This record gives sequence, structure tokens and C-alpha cells, in this order.
Amino acid sequence: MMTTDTFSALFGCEDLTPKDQFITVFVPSLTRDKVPIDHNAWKIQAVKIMSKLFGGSTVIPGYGGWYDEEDNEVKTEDISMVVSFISNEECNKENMDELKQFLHKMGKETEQGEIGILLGNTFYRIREFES
Amino acid sequence: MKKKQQTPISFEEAAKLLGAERVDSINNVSMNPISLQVLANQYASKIKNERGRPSNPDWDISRKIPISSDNWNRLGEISHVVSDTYHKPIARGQVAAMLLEDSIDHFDIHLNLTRFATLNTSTFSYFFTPDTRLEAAKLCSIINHESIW
Repeated sequence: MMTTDTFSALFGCEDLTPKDQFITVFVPSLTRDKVPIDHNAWKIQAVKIMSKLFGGSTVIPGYGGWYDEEDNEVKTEDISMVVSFISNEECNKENMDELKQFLHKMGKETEQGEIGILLGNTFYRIREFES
Repeated sequence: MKKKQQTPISFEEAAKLLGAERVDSINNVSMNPISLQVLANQYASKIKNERGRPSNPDWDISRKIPISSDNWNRLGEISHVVSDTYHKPIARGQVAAMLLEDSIDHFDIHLNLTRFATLNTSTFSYFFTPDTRLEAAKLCSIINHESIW
């Protein structure tokens, strides 16, 4: 039976700390009031910050919706999911503090109702954006 | 310059630091965005629409399988996403069948035996409920032709 270590050796992979968890940031394309934002610029910023913190990131384009309870309306838009695989060690306070600055900046400057993130298999949302 | 070693924190602690509130979790199923995209692509390539509702021609047995109402609702959410993405209607039962087939295809008994054997340690007990650990032990005993009772 082949183990992941065997595969790593076969492919010539470096013996690194395993990255077996992931973080996903949902980058929006509209404000809460459905005004288009510079989606590409924010997507690139997300890729840069997450690659810097976690070694790399991948963008998956998508289309999604979220239920705005205040407006009692489902709001839909094109989005980008920026995914990084991370190790236990990379999930630390310093990295989260830096990621937080970006997420709250994006939420505030693009006038979002909420910013969605996936930590592993759990979805979280940020609704209060700090300055 | 090498980064200073930082103390790892849990995802719950990370969420608090990010100022995020938990909404929901999808337990015991790897449903990260990449897997969802793969699932959607698999559906688009496999499902054929001949008569009535689209289906997979390899599905030749139909069985009733128990499921929680929470997971049944989640299957509904997933079927909406896949249907909207590929503009093909898919029922939640079909999504369930695809997930089950995919899980079985990729389930490695030997690899998971090791995981099950360590389930009783405090390291893994955080991630698994007592019911899950019990079911894992039962599966382990069946594979090993042993009885735990």
C-alpha cells in the first residue's frame, strides 16, 4: 500500500511540514448595494497576501449568493475563491493578524454586508469591520 | 530571513482573531471549494439526459439509506449550486449518490484503519464525537474479523 510519504519520495517532493488544512477567502464583485467594485484588484491583493502568509494560493472563479437579513433579499454576484493550503504552524496569531487587516479592509472599502471565509470545512463570516 | 517560529492556534481561535462568527460546518466530508468544483465537473461529464430526470447509467441498484434532515437540507444546497453552475437540474438524491460513490472509490481501508486505531487518543477525540468513534471501532472490528462485544 502506497502511503503519502512513499508518493512524496517517488515524485521527489521536499520533506516539508504537511499542509493538510485550507483557508478560503471569498472575494466579492459588488458592494452590498450591488455597485460593481474592482474585483480583479481585490482578487490580486488576496492572492498576494495569502501567498505571502501561507506559501501559495489558487483562485477558483464562481458565482454565488448570500441572504441579506436586513434587506430580506438574496444577493447574487460573481466571486473568486482564493484558496491556500496551510500547515498547523502557519495557522498562528501573527498570520491571522495580518490576514485580518486585509479582510477587514476589503470588507470596509468595498462596502460589504459580510466577508465569507472557510477555515477547513467550517464557514465563518465577518460582519463588523474594524478600522 | 527565516520567520520566527509561531505557536499554532486552532481554527476556532483563528476565527476569533479574524473577528469572524461561525455559520456552519460540514462534518466528516471533504467539501472544500476544490472538491466542490471537481464534483460539479464530474456531474457535468457523467449525467445523461435521456428520458425524464438526468441520471448516471452506471447506477443500477436503488436502496434506501438513512440520513439526517440536516444533511438532507445540505444536499439541497449543494444541488442548487451545481444546477446553477451548469444549468442542468440535479436532484439532491443524485448528489447524495455521487458523493457516496466518490467516497467509496477513494476510501482506503488500510489508511483509515490507522486513523481509526488512533481515534481513542486525546489528539483525535477533539475531532470525533463518541458516536463516530464507536462506529469507527465497529468498522475496524469488521475489517479485522474481530468482535468488540
